[in-house]
Amino acid sequence: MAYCPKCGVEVEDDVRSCPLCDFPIPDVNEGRHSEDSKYPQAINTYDEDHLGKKNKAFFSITIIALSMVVIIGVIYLVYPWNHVLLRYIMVADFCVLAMVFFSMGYLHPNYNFLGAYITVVITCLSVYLISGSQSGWFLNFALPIATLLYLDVSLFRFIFKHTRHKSQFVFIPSNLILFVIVLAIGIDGIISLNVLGSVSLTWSLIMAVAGTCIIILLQTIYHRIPEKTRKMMKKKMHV
Amino acid sequence: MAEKNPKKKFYSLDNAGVLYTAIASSRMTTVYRMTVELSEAVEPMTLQNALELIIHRFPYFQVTLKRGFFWYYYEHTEAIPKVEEETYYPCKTMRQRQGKTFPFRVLYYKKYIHVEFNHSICDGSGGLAFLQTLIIEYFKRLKGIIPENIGKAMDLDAEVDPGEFEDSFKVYYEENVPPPPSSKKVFHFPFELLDKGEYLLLTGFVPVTPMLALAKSHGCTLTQFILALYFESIQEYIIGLPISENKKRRQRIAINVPVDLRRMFPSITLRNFFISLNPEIDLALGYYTRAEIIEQIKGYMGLYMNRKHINRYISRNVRNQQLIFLRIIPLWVKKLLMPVVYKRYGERSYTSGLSNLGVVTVPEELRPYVKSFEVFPPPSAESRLKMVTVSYDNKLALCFGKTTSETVIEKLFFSKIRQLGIPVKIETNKR
Repeated sequence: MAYCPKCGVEVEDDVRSCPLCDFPIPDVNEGRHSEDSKYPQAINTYDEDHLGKKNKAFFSITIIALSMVVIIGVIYLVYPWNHVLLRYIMVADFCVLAMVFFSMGYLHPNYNFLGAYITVVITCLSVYLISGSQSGWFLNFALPIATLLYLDVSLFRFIFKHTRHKSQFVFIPSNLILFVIVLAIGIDGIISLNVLGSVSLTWSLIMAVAGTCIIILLQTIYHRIPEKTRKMMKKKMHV
Repeated sequence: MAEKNPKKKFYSLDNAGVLYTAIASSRMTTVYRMTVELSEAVEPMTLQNALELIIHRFPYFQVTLKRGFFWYYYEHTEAIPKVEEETYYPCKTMRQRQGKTFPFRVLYYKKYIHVEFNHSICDGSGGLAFLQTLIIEYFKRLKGIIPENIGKAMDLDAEVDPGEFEDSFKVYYEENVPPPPSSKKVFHFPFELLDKGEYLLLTGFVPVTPMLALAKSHGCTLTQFILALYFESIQEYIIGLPISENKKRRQRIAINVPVDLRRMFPSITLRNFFISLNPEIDLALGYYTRAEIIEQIKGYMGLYMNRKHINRYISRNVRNQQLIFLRIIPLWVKKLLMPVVYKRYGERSYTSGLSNLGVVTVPEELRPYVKSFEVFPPPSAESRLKMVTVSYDNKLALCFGKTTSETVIEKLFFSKIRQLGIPVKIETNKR
């Protein structure tokens, strides 16, 4: 019989620390472990079961996507139909397959997210090349906006990761507003740069000011004004 | 009528079963576990033989879950369940494979027999009847013991009584009874969840006699006394939170206490037949002493634990099940919505659960071979720590099941029992 010296409960002979208070319990059994344990070393089958289901779903989608590739390919080679349209369909097919792959979460979340970004850029580039457009919208708009979104969502994820256990009514709205502000400033900048030739922010500044006020208000409600500041404000305002 | 035929092919789910199948997910498996410790290592072959012999007495358990268009239902299967050695986490999800899986599993490990039941097929009372029958048959095979008085276990030679698988909710349902008052949001444990698929068990064994004496000295029942200690531990935890969590310090604590309705209604069903009450204390009103908590619980139970009030819950539940616009929603839509609805509305009204299964007995002849009983609650995401208590042979098992690795509440709870001068023995599957 072993007892926890700290909380005084009797524990199983083979445990090394108290299951309640984690206080270390001296090993008096000279290494005779696991033989007396009540439960086996449990195996968690959730990941395996989950992966099985996921694989099935992904396999079915891949089969459909590949059959489409074959059908489009055959039509493209044999039948003199609208070739540009067929190319668009092909690009869309690959894009959807890649997006499904990344959204299934086979890789680390950061890689999945990066993969989704690269897919968007490549799809835009392909559409740009297929259309043969002369306006240069890919380099002027598509690539900067996609990159902006990627960076903005990364920022959102980073902040969310660090605040998700705090009050959801304060931090999720704050995060979303910050996300929108960054996005608005970015888009405003890109548009003005392309249209006017220089960065000049207009409407996004209004959004930024309004949004920042809301964020400050929410954070103040959460953290409350420090006692020192409150006293100072009272003094200044003669309350 | 089909309901009266004991060898039916098809069993519709009872009122609680409908809910349990709809909310089941990989985390909320709705599977609970009953453990019995024997004095010697389990003989798997004998256990399998015993199981094969008794399963015919429980035709309503020899079933498999099937998907209907609107609801799940149970269909009789000729397959025979197999005992398995325990290798996975407790209360693992029960996958449904057409005609091959049962709503329960029998596991063994060293000296322990575990029976895990899906809550949609039966509640603790029904599960215990099955487990007791299994133990009696096991020892009959192993040691040739034929007990005189089998207690609550089932007689294998007797005919199956249709009352054993009736849906008692429907039988005792009264129309036009107004629903109970709606519940309020209460404090929930802010602990980090374990990975999906993992579940931790922690049992504290304490002697019954001193606990009972203490309960009597406070003028309450054993369940009420344990409940009061549990309330006190949660209260202490909340009071100890940092001052920045001030809002939490003014919340309500409510504990879900299932009431076995077989004591109130003349039912012998082995399927679900219980209703949960939620005694609560409101921390916004101030700190509660132990005596005050006990008074609060006694008052609450005195006011609400009667047939009239319980009828309101039964009527509400049965009425909800019979609502035509709920019935016509296809199963896959229900399956999508119900877990969210349940998380939002079902579990928000209680912090934790405490279920007392009372005293379990085995025939006198088997007492030297059966050392202890434990029962663990099904895992849940919102109510991260729940307790079931069961006593056998002057040993009270306080069994916690949890989906978090925090032990702060149990530490407070058992330290209170230690402070009362009662010895505690802790066993857990945490490594």
